[in-house]
Amino acid sequence: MNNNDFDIPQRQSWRGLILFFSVSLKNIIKTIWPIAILFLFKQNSFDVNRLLYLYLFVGSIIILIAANTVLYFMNFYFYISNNELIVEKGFLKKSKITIPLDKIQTINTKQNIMQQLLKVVTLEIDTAGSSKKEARFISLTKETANNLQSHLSKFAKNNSQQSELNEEFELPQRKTILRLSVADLFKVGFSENHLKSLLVIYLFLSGIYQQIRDIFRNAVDVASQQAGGFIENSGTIFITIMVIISLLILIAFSIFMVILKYYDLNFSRQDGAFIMKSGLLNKKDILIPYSKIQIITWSSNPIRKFMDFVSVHIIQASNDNLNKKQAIIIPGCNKVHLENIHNEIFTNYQTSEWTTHKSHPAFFIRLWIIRILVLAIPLILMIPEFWETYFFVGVWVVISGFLSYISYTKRWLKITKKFMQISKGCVGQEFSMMFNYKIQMIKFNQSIFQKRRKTASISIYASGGKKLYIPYLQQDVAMELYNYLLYTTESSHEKWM
Amino acid sequence: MLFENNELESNQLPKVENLNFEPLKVQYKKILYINWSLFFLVLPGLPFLAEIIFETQINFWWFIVFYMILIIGYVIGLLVINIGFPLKGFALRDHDIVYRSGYINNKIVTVPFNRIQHTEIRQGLISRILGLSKLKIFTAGGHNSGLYIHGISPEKAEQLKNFLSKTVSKYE
Repeated sequence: MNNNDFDIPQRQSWRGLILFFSVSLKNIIKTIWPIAILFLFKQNSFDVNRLLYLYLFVGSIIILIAANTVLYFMNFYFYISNNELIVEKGFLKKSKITIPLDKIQTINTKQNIMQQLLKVVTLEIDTAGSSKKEARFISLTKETANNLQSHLSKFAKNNSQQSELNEEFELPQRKTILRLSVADLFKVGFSENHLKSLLVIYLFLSGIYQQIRDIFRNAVDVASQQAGGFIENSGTIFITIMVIISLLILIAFSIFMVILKYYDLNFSRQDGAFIMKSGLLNKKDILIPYSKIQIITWSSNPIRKFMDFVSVHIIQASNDNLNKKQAIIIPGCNKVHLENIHNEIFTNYQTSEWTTHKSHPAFFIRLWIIRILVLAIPLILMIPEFWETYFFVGVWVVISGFLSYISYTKRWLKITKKFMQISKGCVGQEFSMMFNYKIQMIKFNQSIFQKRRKTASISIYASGGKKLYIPYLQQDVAMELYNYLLYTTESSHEKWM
Repeated sequence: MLFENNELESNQLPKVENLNFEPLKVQYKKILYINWSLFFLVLPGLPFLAEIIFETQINFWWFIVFYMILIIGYVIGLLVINIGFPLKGFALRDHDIVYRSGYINNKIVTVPFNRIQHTEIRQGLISRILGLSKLKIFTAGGHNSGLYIHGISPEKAEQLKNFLSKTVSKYE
């Protein structure tokens, strides 16, 4: 850390000047575009004088922005003093942001294409507490960013995990847990849920189709008539080929998206935090302190089960608004990787005594009835005159019964004194594991039907926007779970984030 | 039994089911009646709407059947509100706050004091006329993870809010 002494105020990297420029340009365009459009379309004829004015106008704006950029850059300083990160910026209106180091929750770095060319990165610092206090640097050299990141995370850790410091006091070293090759990403993309990408493609294509139809209305009519005739003539072969082609497109699309997002994924740990790096065009570098982790979820589907890997979601605490970004997804973990992740967070989880609780069979019956009704009622109301309707409903009764039974067997709760694990799923299966004391709120739910059978459901709310639902437990078990989780949460002095 | 091997006997746990819940103000029942009635104000128009949309004439007897079902449903709803109302209530314990509601669907929600993020008092137009307030208690658990205490007097709400913010600040 020789040339990066953060005690002295320093600027961001000059290489990013062009980035600052583009940011200001974007802001200016955002504010003045209505005027610009008026200016362009107001007059019918572009005479020479007006063009000259236009050039002068645009030129002066660009000069102003350039001056603003340079001044902004020159006046942007950051440094660390008295265990606080201080950011000073502005030249007309000066502002100073002070962030106590122990309040820092996450430090993430990102890199888009332009930044890759300029060899700089974005560094974002997120803090705890509901007041939005954040710092963002868009042009740091990789070296500075890394130094700052390790410098800050050391402080952040001093605060939350003092006990572990003695053991690992030397150098904070990164240990890789998982690396994904392109071949791995192919597997991940192949086994994605293709229904989701089908929807994206469908929306995309239907958008394009609408536009094309408007332009070539006549041509399309002729073509579709021909296609219609073709379909009638060659019937099933055509449909089969279409299905196969669209499936292939879907798979290719999924693989493409997965590679874009997770290219060169490197998931590692550095004392007290996970670090994830990935991305082809937009590179991301995310740091997750263990204390901020709320739930770890891992899910699989039949194809993934066959290929022996799961996709792990790490759900972090969030302040007020929870969006999907709070969950970090690590695809393509096998059993060993998953075990490594678990061992980091849930110490001794394997040796502790797990007690399993299954949902009551009434849950199966309820699922079955709901699944039958959802399809049968609209069908019978809409087309009651064909016998096929009733045949289809009959088949659905059997299939949904089978599916509901699978859903029922995959629902369970496993609990120890410290952690709990919840499973659900139908075709695939999803497991979630969390510390008992990390619950935010708990809800006991008992309908009059459940009361008769002495069962009840429990909903657990955790930070990060995840709700865990445990349906149809035996009433006394549900009540005991409720009371116990509250007891652990209220008697625990550990910080939930 | 939740645990097979337990140092802490599970019957020693503080039990939420044996609590004495403080009932809500009776005026709140009026709000529930009003809400239920508002919901039913829309429904009688449905057959006419169906006639217009599908351009058909609905048989007179179907109208009668529909309105009979509607009236029965409405009355049952009022009865359920009446039966369920005494079950609604809240309770403060040493370390948490509990709200219970519902007859058809009995719910007990608890928020530990050390998980409260902030609290808020709300009052709608009808509530103001009836002299009622609603206390909302938020946690970090996301969209629906709040405990809402309906139907308490504004003074009570203020009192609770003050108590909670004082208690919560102790945990930080």
